[in-house]
Amino acid sequence: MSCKWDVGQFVFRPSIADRMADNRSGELAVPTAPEVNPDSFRFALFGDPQIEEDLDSRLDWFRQEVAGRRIDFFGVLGDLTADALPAERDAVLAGLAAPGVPYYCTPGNHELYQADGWEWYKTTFGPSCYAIRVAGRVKLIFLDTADGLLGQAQFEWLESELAADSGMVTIVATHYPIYDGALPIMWRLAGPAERYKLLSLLERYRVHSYVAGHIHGWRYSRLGNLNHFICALPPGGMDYGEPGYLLFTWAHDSLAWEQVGFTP
Amino acid sequence: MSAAILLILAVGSQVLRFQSEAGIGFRHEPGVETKALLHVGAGAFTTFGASIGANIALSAGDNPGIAGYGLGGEILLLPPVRLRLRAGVNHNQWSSWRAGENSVSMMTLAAPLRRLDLGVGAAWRVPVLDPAGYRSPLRWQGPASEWNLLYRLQWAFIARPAHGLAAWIANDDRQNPATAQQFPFGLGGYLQVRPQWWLKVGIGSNIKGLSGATFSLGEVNARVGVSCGK
Repeated sequence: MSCKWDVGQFVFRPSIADRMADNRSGELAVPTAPEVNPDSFRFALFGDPQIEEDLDSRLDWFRQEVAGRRIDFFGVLGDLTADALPAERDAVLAGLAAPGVPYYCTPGNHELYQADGWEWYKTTFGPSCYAIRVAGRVKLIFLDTADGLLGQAQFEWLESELAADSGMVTIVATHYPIYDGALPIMWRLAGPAERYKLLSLLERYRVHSYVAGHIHGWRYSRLGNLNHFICALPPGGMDYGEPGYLLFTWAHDSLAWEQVGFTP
Repeated sequence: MSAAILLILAVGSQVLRFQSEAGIGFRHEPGVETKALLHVGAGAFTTFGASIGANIALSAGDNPGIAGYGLGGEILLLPPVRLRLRAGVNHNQWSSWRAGENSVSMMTLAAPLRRLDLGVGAAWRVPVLDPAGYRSPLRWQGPASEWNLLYRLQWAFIARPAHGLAAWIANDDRQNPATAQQFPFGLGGYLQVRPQWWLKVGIGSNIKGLSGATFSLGEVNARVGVSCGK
């Protein structure tokens, strides 16, 4: 059995500082906000579709969900493919385009497993962290935690984004969760100080929700005033919970959420 | 009464020894915080292997003020392999973020070889994240509370009374507790500079991104200080 990954990328890859420099270069096209009915719209978030050759993707099921539930746009929180191979990249692009609505991505660790991983990501999707403002109602901030940390420049950028547009409901979407239950497992941001700094920022600016993937699970936690979600839609088995996506609905001037579980 | 006190003091002086220490440190976690630290601690040790100690750390730079304080104790259970039980209670805080953490920990340690020290245990960590309450050292339930596995693997290259040098992989530093994902490692040494006075130095780091196989150096910690005692 051969390793499909370029293992040198485990250490020698564009760092979060490098990626932030690219993000701020002005050379990458920032995704534009979707056009929606400002009084009523729906969007979905999930992580880890992890397209790979030997497993059936659940994106086809999701395509039907988008049509059936009239989802206006969706976001994918990293690990788009399992191995970042060309065939997988083509397949995930086709799968994400199939629903025919705008979609937004943020990178996961699997995006960095090939030497051209970051190059492919940024030329395909644009910057790895950015914010979109949806109808003046909801602000979605996509963060780059692909290698399990935020870094100085991204922390500064995040705080400036949180401080702006204070009238909107804010959701932060990224790959790594902050918290994953009381058991000591690894699939979350590593450093306690980094997590507390991030939680402090999210609390101070009254962020509505933090949505992540990385571990293949479904978990909802209430951290102070913050809704914290882990929501993954991988092709294979789950570490816990059921696969699915998180559906947000804006109606009557408020935002509601529900988990929609995968049904074969 | 005074005779009894004198007797207690006389016996105590035979079975107790005291040690105090002070030092300065530096902690840099890229993108998170950079600060200088002042550590002060004191402990009492018995000749039969029990000890109790307290410490406090102050910071300057990011998150100035109290960085943490705690109480800890250890008891020797099986002298031939230095099997010990260690317990501690700690409070850390980050003033600028209005965040803190309370933790209670317990570890079992042993030295199956003269130069090898092994330990395993657990800690219950309780973040204190609400702006009004982060100073509370008495809160043991709250959002984002979690268990933390603790471990220590330490090898002493040199272990003499007057000087020593050891390398370690461990996450049981009460003032800088690390999660199981961080894989902290470092070097520490001591040198006797005068009778009952030791110079102590340590440097350490850890790794982030283990669960994603995207490794980054998580932080740098350095500490230098002196300890004195019988």
